[in-house]
Amino acid sequence: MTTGTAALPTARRPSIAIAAFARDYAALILLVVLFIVLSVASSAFFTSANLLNIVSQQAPTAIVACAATLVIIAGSFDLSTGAIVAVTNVIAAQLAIRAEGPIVGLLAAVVAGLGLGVINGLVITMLRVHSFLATLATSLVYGGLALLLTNGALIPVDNSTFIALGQNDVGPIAVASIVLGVFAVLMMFLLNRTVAGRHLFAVGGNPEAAALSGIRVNLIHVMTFAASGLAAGVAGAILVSRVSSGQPTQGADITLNAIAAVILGGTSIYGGAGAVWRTLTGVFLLALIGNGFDLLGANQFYKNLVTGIVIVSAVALAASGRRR
Amino acid sequence: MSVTGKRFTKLSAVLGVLAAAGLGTAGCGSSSSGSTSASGSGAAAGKTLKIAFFASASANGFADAVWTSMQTEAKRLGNVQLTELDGNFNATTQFSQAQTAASAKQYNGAVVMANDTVGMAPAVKTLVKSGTVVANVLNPLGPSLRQIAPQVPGVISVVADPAYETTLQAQQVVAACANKNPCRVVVFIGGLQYPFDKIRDQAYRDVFKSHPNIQIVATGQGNYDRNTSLTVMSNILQAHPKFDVLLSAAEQSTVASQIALTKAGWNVPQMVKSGALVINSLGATKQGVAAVRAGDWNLTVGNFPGTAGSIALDQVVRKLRGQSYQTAINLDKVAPVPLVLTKQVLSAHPSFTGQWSG
Amino acid sequence: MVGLTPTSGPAVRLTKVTKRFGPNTVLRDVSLDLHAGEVHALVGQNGAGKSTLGKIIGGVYRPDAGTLEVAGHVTRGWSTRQALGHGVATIQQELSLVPDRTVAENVFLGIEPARLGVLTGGLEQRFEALEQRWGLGLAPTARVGDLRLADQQKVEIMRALARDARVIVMDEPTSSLTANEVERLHAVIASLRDEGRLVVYVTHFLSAVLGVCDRLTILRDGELVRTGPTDGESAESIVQSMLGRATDVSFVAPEPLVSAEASPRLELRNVSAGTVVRDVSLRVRPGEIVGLAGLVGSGRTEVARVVFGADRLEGGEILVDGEPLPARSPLRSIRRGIAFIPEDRKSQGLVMTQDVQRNVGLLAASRLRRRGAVSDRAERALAAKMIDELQITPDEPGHAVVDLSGGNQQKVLFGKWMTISPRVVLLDEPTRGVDVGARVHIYRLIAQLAARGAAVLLISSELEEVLGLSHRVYLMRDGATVGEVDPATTTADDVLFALFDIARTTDRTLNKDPL
Repeated sequence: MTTGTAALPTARRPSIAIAAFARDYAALILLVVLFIVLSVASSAFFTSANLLNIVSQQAPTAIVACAATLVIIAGSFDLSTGAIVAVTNVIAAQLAIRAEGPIVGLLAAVVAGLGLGVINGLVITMLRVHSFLATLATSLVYGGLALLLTNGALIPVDNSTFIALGQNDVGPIAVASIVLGVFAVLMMFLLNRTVAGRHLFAVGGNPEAAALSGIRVNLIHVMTFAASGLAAGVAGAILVSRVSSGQPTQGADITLNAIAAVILGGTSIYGGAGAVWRTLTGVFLLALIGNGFDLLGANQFYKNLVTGIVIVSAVALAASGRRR
Repeated sequence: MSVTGKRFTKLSAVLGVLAAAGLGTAGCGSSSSGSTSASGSGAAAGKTLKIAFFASASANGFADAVWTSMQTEAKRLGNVQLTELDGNFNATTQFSQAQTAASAKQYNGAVVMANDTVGMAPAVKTLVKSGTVVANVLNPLGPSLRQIAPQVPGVISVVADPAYETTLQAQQVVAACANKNPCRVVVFIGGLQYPFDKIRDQAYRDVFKSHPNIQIVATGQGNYDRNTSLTVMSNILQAHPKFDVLLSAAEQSTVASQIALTKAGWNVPQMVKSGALVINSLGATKQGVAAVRAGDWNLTVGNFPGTAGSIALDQVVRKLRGQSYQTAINLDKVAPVPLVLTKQVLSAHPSFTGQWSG
Repeated sequence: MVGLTPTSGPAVRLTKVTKRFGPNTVLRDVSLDLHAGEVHALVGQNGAGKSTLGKIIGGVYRPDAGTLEVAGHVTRGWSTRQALGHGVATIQQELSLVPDRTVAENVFLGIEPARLGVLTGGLEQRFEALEQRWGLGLAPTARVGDLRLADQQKVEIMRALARDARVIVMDEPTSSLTANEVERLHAVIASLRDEGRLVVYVTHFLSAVLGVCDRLTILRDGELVRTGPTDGESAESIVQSMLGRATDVSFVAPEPLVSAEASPRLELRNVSAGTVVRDVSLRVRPGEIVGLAGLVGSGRTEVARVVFGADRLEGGEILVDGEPLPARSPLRSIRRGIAFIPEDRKSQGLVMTQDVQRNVGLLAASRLRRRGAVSDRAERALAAKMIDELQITPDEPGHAVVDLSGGNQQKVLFGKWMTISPRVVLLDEPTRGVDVGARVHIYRLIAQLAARGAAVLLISSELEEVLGLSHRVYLMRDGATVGEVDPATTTADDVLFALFDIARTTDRTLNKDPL
């Protein structure tokens, strides 16, 4: 995606500059367009309440997507995030209604997420299985574990401390949004300002060159999956707190939504290039579509259709910079 | 809780994998035998009957309630061995499960809770032809979703008309809105792509047609998921910050809506008590019944999956043992409590807590 | 399909064909006629353009200038598909077969007997007809993946024949065959010629040229040296023409050693590793540039990899400053100050998705930390310093390396390794795919590294380069060092003839690439 083709001198002609801009910022351009359209179409859209609302709604998906950015830049995929959300939200609910209490429950979800992520990383690097297959398999294991822990049932939690993470606000901003903000900054820092981040880009961009540069490639992969698992654990904690109940079906759609947001934002599906801000752009682009439909009371049957058109538009915009 | 049959083998497989992964699995201690069979407790004994439950999905509160009540009923009947088949919310999975059972003649009887009530009919027909005694629970099996009488010959139909329950709900809304003009209603439906939900939604609209004061300001689709419902409700609130009635055909969405309204600063219990807000739900889940008892909601209309499970199993066993049985049972007529559960009704039935969790 | 008859002029005619890759011109104004009923060899050094020429005829590449005529028709939009349609088939170095399917299915892949897309059968009969005519002796139902390489090549040839190819381009067909298999392949080639087909034979092996080819074309630096019959040619005469005069590149004479008596920085004693490296012994002193000359496949690259710790050492000893290296890995090597510039900078050296700054800073990142975070400013300053020192153009740290020319990419790779101030530098083909101007810079850089006290091991296919830059040169053959020469008193021809003499007298090395 970011690998340009010819050795063109930069910005020779304005049209080339525009095309290059479109290529780099396709999702952002569409986000702005959609933002303007919705502001005009619905008076309820461009209000701080609605916008803060969207951020809070998307926090779990966005957190998982931020970490998925790292995984994808390193050249892998994590298909188990939804299953980790399922396990961790159930663990949180079960501990919360026992003696351990709500805080231990929520922390346990985060720690369990981290642990399951590390297991993913170890399976992939030690067994040398492709991440796609390995996490598809672990997602079945984790999903099965969530079912076994609950026997398929819902675990209601009625506790004001427990629901604070998902339901409370600090001033006008939801706690979940603050968690998202902190997590996103953390991921940006990790990716752009740390040695591990540098190595991560190198591993995704050219694994062989990375290995010949003394980079511990496997360690980097384990780290990205650990981050992804941790994110799923945090998302699980937010979701269980938000709906005040643990359930094994929680988070089923989070895996593909997160990956779609990462790719839609412009992070290379082949690895080696990408950014956390791009992922956030992708998340909110998809979120605006759903928000718009609910605000306008439009026929929901058009929602998938419109979402598909938006994705194709982003891809077309990005491709316009490559055409010659 | 005991874990049986197919579910047990799945459990041991998963546990094996987890053990290999070196993961401790605290808190999922199930060590039951592979079947729930009870020796004859007075009732007609004879040979042990093998009966399968084709669950829409085992990870589903509704199916779980059917399954649990079947297990209790099996103990009562005696000499019945149950197996649960997990349809995993997948119509094709269920179809092949039924076909396999038919060709292998694995079971004497079956209770079917279909994911696709139309598509599953041919497989059930094969199952019946193979000599299996089949009961169908909850939604009518076959092209007509509102017909109580069996549409697949030979099947025992233990079902409800989806429009009947929502019509009752809508009539309650009409009564509550009698002195309000306009009376603004937010409707929540599971998903309009599902035929039975389409029927439920239409039933609401049919009732409201003759009451122009009632306006449906928004229709949310929660897909039977709390988090999705939460997002949709908070979005609807941005466009419609004020409304009078929350009318929900999916209790997961009712629970989530209450969270969203509370988050938006509404004091829901107080508003319901003062009459400023009406919450009218469908499901009679444990959570819903508790909310109505507490006066946080006005009413919930009953779904009784537990009743469905025990009746269906009972009828199948009766037919197998040559006793008298019915071919069609309308669940709305055999409910253990009145269908419309208000605080008043519930105080008359203090032991009823709801048959399922959603 | 255009039928070719031996009498209707040249089967293939190239007129002033030019081909460029980025800034490099790999073929310049090549005009050449190739006739039906001949086996025509294309020979030259590495990078002379012989493979490119073969690929242009086969439709893999299109010429940037000039025309290609096939059977008298000027080609337009030439592609492999078009070429096949005109009866020109190419057999590439890497075979393009489907290993899990049968011989017959592979032979008719893409031209399966079918009606409206539905297979009609008759594959076997058609295969039998083909087999009767050509007698290559392949079983139609054998799984291709189970065949030996030589037989797989026959499948490729049959595939060309199934499409009634009149022109068959073979790119280094014998590079992975045993001597016996080569003989059999040559017999097939001879029968193709007798049938009136044109075989274009791209090869390094002069014995093959002299043995099976009727005419040859010698290329040097992208230009045609001469073309003519092989009668009267000898290996010596061909090599002379391939080498030509000394190239225009002026070498930076190595600085005299500070102390010829200094103890070696890097020493290899009877090193063996993997399947190739059998017995390598050499010493490199601080400030010394030592060349390693050998045929392709002699194990030169593998020596560098095992020293760097990228491959496992199986026997012998590697010493740095007189001490053996016990646990070895790229990371440990880097910490000891060993730098390795691999032969393929795109797949092994650079991170092509990143910019100059990030590539230069990759090894230095942990040293550029300020309070836990990698300092972007410090990294940019480091990159700017290297850009300045190495004269990388354009001089922007934020420029994507993928857009740089080969020479500048190579300089970025040098810059990356210079950030660790290396004590030992392993260079594998440091000027491959680099234009002449950048070459001189890189030569100067290598001399500078040595002048700063690094021990440099230089591996290159270009003998002039090895001889021009090194203080000493080791000769390597079949995974072993077999001698040492003094570049001051040795010419490229001496070395090449030495290598050829070895190659020509031993049947076992018949298939080794001489350059």
